[in-house]
Amino acid sequence: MQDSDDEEFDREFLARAAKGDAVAWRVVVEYWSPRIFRYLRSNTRNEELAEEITQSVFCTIARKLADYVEQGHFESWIFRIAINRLRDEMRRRKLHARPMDSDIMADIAPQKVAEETAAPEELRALRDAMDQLPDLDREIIDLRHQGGMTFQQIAVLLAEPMGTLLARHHRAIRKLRDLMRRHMGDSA
Amino acid sequence: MDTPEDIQFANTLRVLNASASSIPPGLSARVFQASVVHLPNQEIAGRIGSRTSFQWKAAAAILILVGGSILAWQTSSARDRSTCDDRSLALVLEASASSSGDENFIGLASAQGAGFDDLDFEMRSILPAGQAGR
Repeated sequence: MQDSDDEEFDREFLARAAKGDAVAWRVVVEYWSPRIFRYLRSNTRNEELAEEITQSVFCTIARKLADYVEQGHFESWIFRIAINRLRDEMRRRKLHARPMDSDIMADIAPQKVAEETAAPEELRALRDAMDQLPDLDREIIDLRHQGGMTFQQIAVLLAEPMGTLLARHHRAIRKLRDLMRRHMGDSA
Repeated sequence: MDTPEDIQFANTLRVLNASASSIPPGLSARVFQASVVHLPNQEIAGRIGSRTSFQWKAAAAILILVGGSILAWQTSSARDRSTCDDRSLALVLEASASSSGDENFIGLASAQGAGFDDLDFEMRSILPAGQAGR
């Protein structure tokens, strides 16, 4: 995904931001925050939580920027922080979560319910299918299609050999397609 | 590795997700606001600010302490002097009340440790004009 122009862009603006240039930092935030947010929202299905974690990710990046040496791995770095934050948050929420009846959940999450009913059938099918994927498969799909990462970056990020990663992605896509077809067939 | 069908499906997936992936208005601005204060030099500026503030506070505290010590020292010496003067004065008054003679007056005051200079001063300041010279 990242070509040499993107790397140059990262290098220049990150270097300036690392020296405290707020204007350069704004450019970095404007470029990266939508991607991070989309990835987090896809995982959390909660817009507010996704934004909260996005802010936390960028606070961490800003704090560590002085020690960061840009070598074309910024994308992996920022997504790694996002993934770690997401996992921490999910773990924390799981610890504090109490089992609730789905009707109660529907009552307390009107925004989500409204969105679900407004969403196209395919989108609902896709979400249901995504929920049925193993965590790692879902992570690869999200990083690739929501985060817009290259396979190479994902391989670095997840410390997986490229071949393994491509095979996993291929299997995950097939699984997803089958699940969606089944879902659409059931609902038809 | 992906078949054309897979690629087409991946594109569909992307389009579907994109349709539901509008970004909340002002997201970048809020993220920027929350994070800009953590930029390296912004934090250094903050630390310099707090250090300056701390230095001012420390300087003010030292000044107060030094000033307080000087004041306490001066008050203490003044009290000591005042005690001495009070004692001398009491002696002078006592002597002048109990004796009409200069010898007794000087003798009694000397017995209490008052110097001749003190006595001269006390006598001049207490006794009516003309009497001190007797």
